[in-house]
Amino acid sequence: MGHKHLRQAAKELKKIRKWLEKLDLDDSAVEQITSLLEDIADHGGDTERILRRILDEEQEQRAILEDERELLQAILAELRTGAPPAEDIGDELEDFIGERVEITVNFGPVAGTVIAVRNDYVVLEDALGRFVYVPFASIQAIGRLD
Amino acid sequence: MDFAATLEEQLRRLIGETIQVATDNNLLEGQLTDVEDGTIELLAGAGGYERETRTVLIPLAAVNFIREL
Repeated sequence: MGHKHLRQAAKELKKIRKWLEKLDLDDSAVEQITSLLEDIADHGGDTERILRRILDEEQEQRAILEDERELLQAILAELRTGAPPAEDIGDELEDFIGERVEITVNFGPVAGTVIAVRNDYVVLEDALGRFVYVPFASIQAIGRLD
Repeated sequence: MDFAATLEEQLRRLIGETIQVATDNNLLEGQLTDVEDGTIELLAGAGGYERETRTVLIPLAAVNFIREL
């Protein structure tokens, strides 16, 4: 290999290194590719063979990423079909503001007038004028009284 | 009446007040002393005739409801 070729090869190697940094490969893959690049630098030998191995390595990584993507999509689909987040009940509770309700929680029923609905809780005013705060997460049922 | 956006914030405003906290199968009463990182701290009567108090920590996630007394 002439000097010109060597310089060009070194340039190419630099580019490949930069490109590898940009890719989100795991540590062992980067290590493997780096050692391959060092092989090239040390021996300047069978470049094509080594580059092909790098290419294979990249393809393998792509396949792994693709598998991971599929797995994440499956998880996401499962999450979407699950129960809606508890905050959704807040929208329903807004309609009850000013009305007397009975909210059932694990402890038992709590009755009062709906005073306010916030991000994660509802405020009731009980018969004695005391404020009762009920987190959405603990609500099991809401019933309109009167 | 103005209430905070989240329950944790609202409870922070109530520090010093006497409250009643219901969990799945317990009803605790006492002075709210601290609210931090999803946990509320209550100075509750220990029960019995003595005027003894004890500090009780309750995770917000375990709260069924809280009543201002």
